[in-house]
Amino acid sequence: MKILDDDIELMLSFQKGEKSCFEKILEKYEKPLINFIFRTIGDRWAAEDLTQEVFLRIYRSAATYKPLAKFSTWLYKIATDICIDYQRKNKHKHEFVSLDNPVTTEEEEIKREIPDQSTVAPDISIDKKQISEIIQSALFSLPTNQRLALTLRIYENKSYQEISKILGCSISGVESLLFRARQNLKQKLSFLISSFSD
Amino acid sequence: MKCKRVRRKLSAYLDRELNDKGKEIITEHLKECTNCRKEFSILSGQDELVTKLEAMEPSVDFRVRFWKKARESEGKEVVKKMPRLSWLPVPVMSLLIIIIISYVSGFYFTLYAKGENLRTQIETQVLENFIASAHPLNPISLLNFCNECWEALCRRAQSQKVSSKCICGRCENQ
Repeated sequence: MKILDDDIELMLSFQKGEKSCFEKILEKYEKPLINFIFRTIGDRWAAEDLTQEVFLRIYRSAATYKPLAKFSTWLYKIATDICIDYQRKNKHKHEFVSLDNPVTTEEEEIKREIPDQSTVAPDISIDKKQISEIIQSALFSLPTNQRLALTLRIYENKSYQEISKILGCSISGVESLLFRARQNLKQKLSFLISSFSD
Repeated sequence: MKCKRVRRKLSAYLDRELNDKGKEIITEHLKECTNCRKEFSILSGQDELVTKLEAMEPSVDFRVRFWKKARESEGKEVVKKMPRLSWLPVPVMSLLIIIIISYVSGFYFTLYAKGENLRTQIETQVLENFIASAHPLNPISLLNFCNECWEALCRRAQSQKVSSKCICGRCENQ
C-alpha cells in the first residue's frame, strides 16, 4: 500500500536527485526532532548529535526508500530506535540517584539538606525556568517507554495508532503506557498542579 | 460504569482516542461523578503544564555540520562501492588448473593410444630432454650443479693441503 503526503513527495524528489528537497525536510523536522530526542535522553549536545544521526540514516537510505508508512512515523521510528540504543549504551551514565537520600560515611550518616520539592510552600513563587526544570526532572523519572509514549502524544501530537507503529506495540499497549505515565507524573507534579489551580 | 474503570479510560478520553460509545459513557459518567470529574481536571491540567516545557533551538551551525557529515558519508560509500579485486584470483586459478589438467590428461590419452614401442620412445625422449635441459628449476640439473661445486671445493681443499683426502667421494674415483 502506498501512502502519499507532502514529506513523502519531498523524499521521492530527493531520491531523484533534488538535494533542495532534503533541505526542506531538514528545515521542517530539525527542531521538533531535537526536542523529541532531548526530552527522551536529557542531554542537549547528545540530542543534536543523535538528530544528525537520524537525518544521516534517512539521507543514506534515500536510494532504497519506499513510502510504506507516513514519513513522520518512519522518521520518529528511527529516532526512537536511536534513542533506545543510546540509552542502552549509556545506561551507567544516566542512573538516577535520589538527592534526599542520606550519605553514609565511615563514621556517620549525613542527612542531605536539600528541600523536598513536593513540600514547596504554596506562597513561594516558582518562575518559568524552575517549572521547566521540575517538569523535565519528572519526565526523566518515568520509564523510557512511558516517557517516549507521553512525549510523542503531548509534544508531537501523534495518534495512538502512530505511536503504536513507532514503538512497535499494540494500540491498547499505548493506551496502557499513557495511562501509567500520566499516573506517575501526577504523583511527581501534584504540588505544582495544585499551586497552579489555586 | 464503575469509577475505577472510568479512570482507566480517562487518559484515552483526554486524547480523544475512544470510540463514540466509549466517549458517550465517560461523558455521562463525568456529569454525575464529582471525583472522576476532579481526576479528569487534574489530568488535563497536568497535560497543559507539561506543554509549558520550553523547546530548545538547534545550534546555528546544525545544518552546516549535517551537510559536512553527509558529504563525508557519501565519500565513504563511494569507497565501499569500488569493485574489490580480491575475488579475481580464485576463478583465474581454477581456470588455469582446469587447462593444465585437460592438457596433461589429453597428452597421456594420446600417448597411450599409440603403440607400446612408440610410447616408450616418446617417454624416453621427454625424460631425456627434461634431464638434459640446464634450467635452474630442473631439480636434476640443480643436483648436478651442487655436486660439481662440491667436487671443485674438495679438489681445491686437497691442492691447498687443507684436507689430506677426498671427502666428496667423487674426485678419488676419477
